[in-house]
Amino acid sequence: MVDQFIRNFAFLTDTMKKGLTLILSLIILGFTAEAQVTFEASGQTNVAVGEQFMIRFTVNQQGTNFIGPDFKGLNILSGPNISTNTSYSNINGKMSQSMSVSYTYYLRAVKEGDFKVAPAKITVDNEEYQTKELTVHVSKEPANTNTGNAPDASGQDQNQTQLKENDLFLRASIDKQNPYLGEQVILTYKIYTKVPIAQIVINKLSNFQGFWMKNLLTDQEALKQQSEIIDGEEYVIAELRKFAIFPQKSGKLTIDPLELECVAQIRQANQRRSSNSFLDSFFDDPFFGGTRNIQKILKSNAITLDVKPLPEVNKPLDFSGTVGDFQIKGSINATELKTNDAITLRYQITGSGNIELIDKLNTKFPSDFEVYEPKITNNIITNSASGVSGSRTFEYLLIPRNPGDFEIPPLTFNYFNLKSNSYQQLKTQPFNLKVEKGADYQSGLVYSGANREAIQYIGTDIRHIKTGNFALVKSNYFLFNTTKFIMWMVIPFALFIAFILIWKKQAKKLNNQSLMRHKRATKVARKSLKNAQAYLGTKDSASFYNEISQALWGYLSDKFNIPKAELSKETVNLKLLDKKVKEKTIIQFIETLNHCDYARFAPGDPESTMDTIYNEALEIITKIERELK
Amino acid sequence: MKRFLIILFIFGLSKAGFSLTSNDSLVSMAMNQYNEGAYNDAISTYDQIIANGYESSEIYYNKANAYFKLNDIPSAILFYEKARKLNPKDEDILYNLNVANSRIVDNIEQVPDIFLKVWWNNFYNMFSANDWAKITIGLFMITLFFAAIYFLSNRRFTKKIFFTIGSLFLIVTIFSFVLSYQKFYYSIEHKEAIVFQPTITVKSSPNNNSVDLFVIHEGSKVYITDELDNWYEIRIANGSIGWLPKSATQLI
Repeated sequence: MVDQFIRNFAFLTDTMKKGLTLILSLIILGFTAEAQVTFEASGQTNVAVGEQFMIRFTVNQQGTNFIGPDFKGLNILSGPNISTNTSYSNINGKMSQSMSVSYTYYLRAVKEGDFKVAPAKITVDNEEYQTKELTVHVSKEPANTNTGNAPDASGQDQNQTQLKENDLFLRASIDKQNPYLGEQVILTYKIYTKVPIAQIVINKLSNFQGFWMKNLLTDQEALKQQSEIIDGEEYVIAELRKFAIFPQKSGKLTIDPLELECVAQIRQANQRRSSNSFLDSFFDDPFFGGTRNIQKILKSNAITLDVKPLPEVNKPLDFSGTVGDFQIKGSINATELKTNDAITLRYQITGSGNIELIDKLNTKFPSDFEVYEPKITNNIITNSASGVSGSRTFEYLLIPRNPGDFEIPPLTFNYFNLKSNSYQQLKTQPFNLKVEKGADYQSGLVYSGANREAIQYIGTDIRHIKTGNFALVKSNYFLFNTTKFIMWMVIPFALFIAFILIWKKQAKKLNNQSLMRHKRATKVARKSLKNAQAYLGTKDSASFYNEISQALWGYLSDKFNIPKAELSKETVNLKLLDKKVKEKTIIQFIETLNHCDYARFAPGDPESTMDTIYNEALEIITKIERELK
Repeated sequence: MKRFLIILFIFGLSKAGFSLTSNDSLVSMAMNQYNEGAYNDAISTYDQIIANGYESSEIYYNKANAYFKLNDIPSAILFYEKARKLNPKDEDILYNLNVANSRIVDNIEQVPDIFLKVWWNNFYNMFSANDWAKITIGLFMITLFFAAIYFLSNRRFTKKIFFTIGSLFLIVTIFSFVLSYQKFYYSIEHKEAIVFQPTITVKSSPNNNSVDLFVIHEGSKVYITDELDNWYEIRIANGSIGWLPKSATQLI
């Protein structure tokens, strides 16, 4: 590439030097030591930081014991390189011979400032010679300084031909200043020159931090020249480098300048004083001496991009940062197949933009399918005008393991469309697959028979929210420390105590009454019997029997605490048995009651019967009384 | 007396916090927002309900789900834990909490509890604090009933039986009362917290210059054992103890 450039631009100047050395060495003759000894230092004194330059010490006699300076503050790249020149000249028929020995240092300045080069020393014929002290001025900016074969062996004056600032420069340009994140920006480095250029070496390429980049120029396309007139001056322009860059983060991004070193050639007319010497005319030949090489370091301008972030509004969830303009196409090689047959599903995304950055598609396959990692192939076309475009194909190999009808749902692909400045979704068509049982379905696999397939969990997610009505409770409401809780404990307890107390009291009261009645039972009965006796005297049989009956029943009721309403012969029987009264006595008591009831209405002598009943009643009450004791 | 009792009874029966209609509409609004995927909106709707002074395990659970969907795992864990505090046995809450816990950085090995403690915790977690309080009241009433029978019966056999049953119920009631108290105390005291700082170094004492003990990450649950100024003394599930600045955590 560079070679071609050189061929296009200039002539090889090295040849000249070689030619000179050849000729000089051919015409070496004798040596006359009539010349005075000179020992001189020469070289560039105005250099830029980082530039390579040369300091040469020349002596015109053969010397010994050369001591060079230590070049404080400068880096010695090589040296001292010793070269010996012997020249022979014939002036007006007089032959003269001269010789020079030079000690050359190649140096590089590393920092700015003035550096003193101390004198060098040499001994010629036992006499010591010194050069003058040199001062090297190192500047920050590359100066248009002379280099190459500048100080000639003959020490001739030179025309200080300078390279002007506008003669040669490098410029970086971008096609948009304010791209979206991920949008393609075309960055071009162009060299503008008015002078031929012999050589270009790129020292430092910009580091594209925060960018993904793609080279747009092939070697053939690079350095294609064209001319352009800028401000009335004609320049030759060549595109050195061209990139499609895709910012990977938003905000201000800076691309460092590109730095290159180039050798420009400047034509120098009448470099040597004209003479008729055939040698001179030889050197006047443009092939040899007409140009001078000037080394120059060129720096492009730095470029700052203000990268806009992609809008957050309506940003799809599965957006992966693809920006540009795309189409998607899905294709499948078979839709009816047998189990364990492989099918190939291809998704091809075509368009322009950062297409190579798509690394995953949001595919969904039936979970029963065996899916292999997709094979990704790119067909990227780089075009120096429009940038990166092409297609990226994802080829999925699918193997259905079970028969059935399946649907491969449409693939959705989201990207940011730069034309409409909005997110856009592309969709492929769905594919319906009909899978039939293949020949080997039954045999080889474990799906049928004893080993049934366990449920395969395809994903994990949280369970859905609680829906429907649910009771809301006042926050920080705790039943425990409310008065309500205490009430619920205290009040039932109080009620319980009260209830027990009231009940007990009542029971006591009832108890006292029956006790009284029990104690008074005999007295009351005897009183009734006394009344009956009185009726016996008056022969009032109705009153007599009434009194007797009351005496008997009342005695029972009071004595055994039986309510009057419950009195009957059965209850009497039970009660008395309970109180451990003898059965015989009970029977007698009941008989007495019976006699009393019958005698009321029985015919016969009422007086004798009344007498018997009275005695019977008196007897039985006494008997019970006795037995209870 | 009787009227007073009736009033008290009605007061007792009516739920202390009955949800207002506006809250009901907020609940259904939040549900729709969640279903549409507007998780941020759903969260703010739930916050509104909570700001109204109401809560329920379901509200916290739903809010935690919304946080989970937004991939804010520490917040999701915080609210699942809050929901669990109100309803310790709900299977959905436990399941989702487990899923959320599997998404955090720290995998702290739990020190296995002794059998008795596991059994006690299971028992204790069967009901919420308020339910335990209600159970205590119920048991107390039954105890009183049996006691009354014991006191009022004249027969010796009946007395014997009801004395035994009554004493048994009295023990159970006291037990339930203790549980209610403990549960209540657990509910009002915030003894657990979730770490919210992405990475935080646990210190050996409540001082920034003290020795770094270990590092925990957001979403981890810590038990607060003590506090001093702006520091909590915490214990993590594996038993390690250290101090954390209060600002790094949020109480459950």
